[in-house]
Amino acid sequence: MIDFEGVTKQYNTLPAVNNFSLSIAKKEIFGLLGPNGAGKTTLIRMLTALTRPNSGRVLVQGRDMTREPVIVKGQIGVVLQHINLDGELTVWENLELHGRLHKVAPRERRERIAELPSISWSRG
Amino acid sequence: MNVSFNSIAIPLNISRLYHRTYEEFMMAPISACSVVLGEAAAGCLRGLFGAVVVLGLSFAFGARLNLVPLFWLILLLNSFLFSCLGIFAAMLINSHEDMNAFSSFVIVPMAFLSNTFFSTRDLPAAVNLIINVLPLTHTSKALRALALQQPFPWESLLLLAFFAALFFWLAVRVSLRGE
Repeated sequence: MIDFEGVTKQYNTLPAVNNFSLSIAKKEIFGLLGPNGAGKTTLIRMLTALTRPNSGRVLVQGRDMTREPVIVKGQIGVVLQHINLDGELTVWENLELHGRLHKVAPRERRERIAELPSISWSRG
Repeated sequence: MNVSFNSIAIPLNISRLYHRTYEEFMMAPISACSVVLGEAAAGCLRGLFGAVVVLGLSFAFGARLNLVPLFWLILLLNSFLFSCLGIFAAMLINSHEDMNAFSSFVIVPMAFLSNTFFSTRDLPAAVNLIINVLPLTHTSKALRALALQQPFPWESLLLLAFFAALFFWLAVRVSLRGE
């Protein structure tokens, strides 16, 4: 369940999202479409704790993103439009870093990275 | 100060605005406090490493300094607070050019005016007033007193702790704001 309840977001004096409400049910596949400047990115940024609403609430599984961000962020997965990999790290190191950030246990982390079939691993 | 500030502020600003890798940290299920503490710890380590190199050179050139634990605590506090200031600036400033301007107009003058290279006693009272609220002034006062075995200015330690807490709080606030 994802709920936006009367969410408003302004960047300085520029309103990006104004009193927006939406409810997405469990297992529902939802596409958010709109013209440039409609506020799609701002909504996703609020849903992923990258920015905070000025008013209203963003709930995931009934938990408020602003009040319990760590728990909510542990429940969601996000692929952003930009390539966010750290260019100074190897592929293995990037996977290791993200595994650590998402609190995957060390053994499970190593096993899951090694399971990826098409990559010949080198830690250098 | 320079190493702690610049080693955090510039890479973080680039990471936030150009590579966008900082978003990955902010979206991970860890608190903003943890992210800021991690960045500040990296800044402290680099700052202390720079300080050790300078101290090593000082000893090589014959200086005899009294390096008591309080000396290292002051160095750590100084590195921490300037790392946090670096995070604050990097999260607030929206272009790489402006980051350089912040460094040129805030950090560099502070490095020269904070009782570091010359005494500030003969400067006008108004200038001295400003200098006395800069954190680096209190770092240099405290370090000089410890290294030369003079009476320790405890008020400087308190002020450094206050600045460290203030800059940490500001860094967490702007990280949470995330715009």
